[in-house]
Amino acid sequence: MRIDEQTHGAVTVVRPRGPIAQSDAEGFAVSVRAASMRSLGRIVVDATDVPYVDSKGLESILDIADEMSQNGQTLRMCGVCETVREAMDVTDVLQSVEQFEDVPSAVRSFL
Amino acid sequence: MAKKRTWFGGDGQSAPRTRHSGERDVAGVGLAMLAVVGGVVLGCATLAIVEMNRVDQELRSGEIRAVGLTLANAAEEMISEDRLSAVRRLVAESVSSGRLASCRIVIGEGEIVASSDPSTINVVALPERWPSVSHTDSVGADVGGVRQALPITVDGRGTLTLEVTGVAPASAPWRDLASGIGLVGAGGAAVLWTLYRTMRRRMARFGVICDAVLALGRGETSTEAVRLAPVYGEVAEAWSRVLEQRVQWEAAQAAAPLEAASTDRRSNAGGEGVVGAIDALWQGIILVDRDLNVTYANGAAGMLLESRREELVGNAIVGRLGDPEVEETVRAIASGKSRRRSGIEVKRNEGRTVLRFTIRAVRREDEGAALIVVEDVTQQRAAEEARHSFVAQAAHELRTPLTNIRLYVEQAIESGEEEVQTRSQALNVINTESQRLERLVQDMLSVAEIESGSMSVHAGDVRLTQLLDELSSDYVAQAREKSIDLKFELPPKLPVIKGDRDKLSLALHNIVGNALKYTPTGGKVVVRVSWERDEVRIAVEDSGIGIKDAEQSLIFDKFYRAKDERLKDITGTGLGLTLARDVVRLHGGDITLRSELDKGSTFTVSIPARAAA
Repeated sequence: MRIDEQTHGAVTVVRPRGPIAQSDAEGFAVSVRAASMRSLGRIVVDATDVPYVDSKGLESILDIADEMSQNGQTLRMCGVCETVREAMDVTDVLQSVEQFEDVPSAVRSFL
Repeated sequence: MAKKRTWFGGDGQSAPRTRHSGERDVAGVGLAMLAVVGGVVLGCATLAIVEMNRVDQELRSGEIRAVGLTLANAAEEMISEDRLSAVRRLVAESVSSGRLASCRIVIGEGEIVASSDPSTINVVALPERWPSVSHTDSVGADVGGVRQALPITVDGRGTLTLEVTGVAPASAPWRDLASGIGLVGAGGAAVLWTLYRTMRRRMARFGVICDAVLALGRGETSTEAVRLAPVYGEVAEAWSRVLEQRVQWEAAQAAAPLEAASTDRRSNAGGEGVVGAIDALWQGIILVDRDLNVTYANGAAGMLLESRREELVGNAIVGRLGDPEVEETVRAIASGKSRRRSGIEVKRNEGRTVLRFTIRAVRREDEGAALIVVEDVTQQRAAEEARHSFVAQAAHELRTPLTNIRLYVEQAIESGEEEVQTRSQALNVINTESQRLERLVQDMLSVAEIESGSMSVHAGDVRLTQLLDELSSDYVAQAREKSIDLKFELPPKLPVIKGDRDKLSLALHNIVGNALKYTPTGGKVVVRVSWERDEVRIAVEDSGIGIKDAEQSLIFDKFYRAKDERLKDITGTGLGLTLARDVVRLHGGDITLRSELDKGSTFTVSIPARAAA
């Protein structure tokens, strides 16, 4: 899975391209953690190109959200498709993240 | 095949065969009771035997006395008639009846007139008279049986004594003893056995629990190994509940360290109540004492200071704040020298991060404690800087065409009606600058819309073939005018993607327009389109002036124009590439640049292909 990073002002947008599943979930978590460390938590996960997530992926998202919440932060996600949203909703992972429609909206939330 | 369930104290279907401690207790009690009952039975039997012997002897004595009286009467009459032989025959026959052991008639002391044993007779004939021995009826007993002495009085001659001895029943005592013991013992044993069975059944439940407790005391760890068989009914159920509680308790004990760790983690990372609320803050909160040691830090503080909360708490804050001014302020407030709230912004990580430290005393009466609030204001400062830069650049960019317009308006006014050519030239410049101003304002508005998030993407089907055809036709004339070889290399088939057609068209126009603008006359511009499975790539390659390596990362910034002397005659707003990149990013794509100075540049637009053709 390819994971792109873009900088919007002081915010890093992490954009995984492909499903967050199986072994890719670990790579995704590593990338997000590294980006979060670099930008002191100013990150947005742009899930526009994530068609689905499996249990590993959900677990990774939840772990990252938990870690960030310990620092008073929230994992921000945008562009979440219906399939992923439903999976996150059913497993209550959705409650642990903040959702935005698109990247600019998510980036603006840091102001 | 299902594994057979094993239970403590039995197989669960029947009573246990092994004796448990309770049963052993019952057995002991049972033996004691048996001994007591045996003693009682034996005593009763002895008393019964003695009493029965006494009664039997009395009955026997009466019987012998009756026989003796009969014999005495008969013998008195016979002796009166002097029929001694008849008397002797009577005495002998009385014994043969079997009821008497012996019988004799004596005169005085030792003179036997008649006897059941003829050899003992020592008086051949009765004298006329004999001395009378005064005596009363007497009854005695010896080993031979019951002895009775009765007087026989013969008028005018004297008194004789009839001595009869009854036969004692030899087997009567043992028969009575056996029957007594048998009856009482059997009854007692039956009662005892019933009692034992009942007590054993009842005590077995407690006994097996006792054994289970002892097993647990010996270190048995398996709950299932000490679970009672269902045959013990309510006791087994109650015992099972106790075991379940034990399991829960053990689980709680086992989880205690984890819970403590979790609590510790919560106390460090969250906790409840006020502490939890503080930990939920995205601002870092740090409390330091007068010695500048950290007494509390929330998670955000640890993250913002690029440390771990555990490393902060209990250690000195000096050296961790990253700025001498902040540390000095903290020192002054913590020591009580200053009570004024101070706010200091510090740039860290080579300016990539801006932290705002607000330091103040915690409470007026608590000297020597300071509260430090750390805020990450990087994005705010970046936004402010961008806004200021935008306003400054916009003012600069607007001033140039406005200045031209003002100058040429003045020239047109001053030229008078006769100088038609001059006026016409001025009006042309004003027209051109007005159009430039319009584009500039439009681009600025578009960029502002994107950055403010107010730009909406009207997603729909975008036919790339059609879009690129329009792009080609729009720039053919311009390319021909500069003698630039403009080529579009398209695959036979392109997908229909999801996106905002107008905005994508604007982005591609900016990129192709730039390529033509910065490519000298006689140059070449090639638009190559490739389509992979999930991505469309549009590469715009020119043979233009190229971009320095150092500037390649800056050309997408607003109003940035490369520092190249060759650009002084080329007008531009500096917003085209910014706008193009923002639009492409809004569609989930990006723009990359590969350029070499004096050789040309290639801008590659990557857009996700959401729909198949």
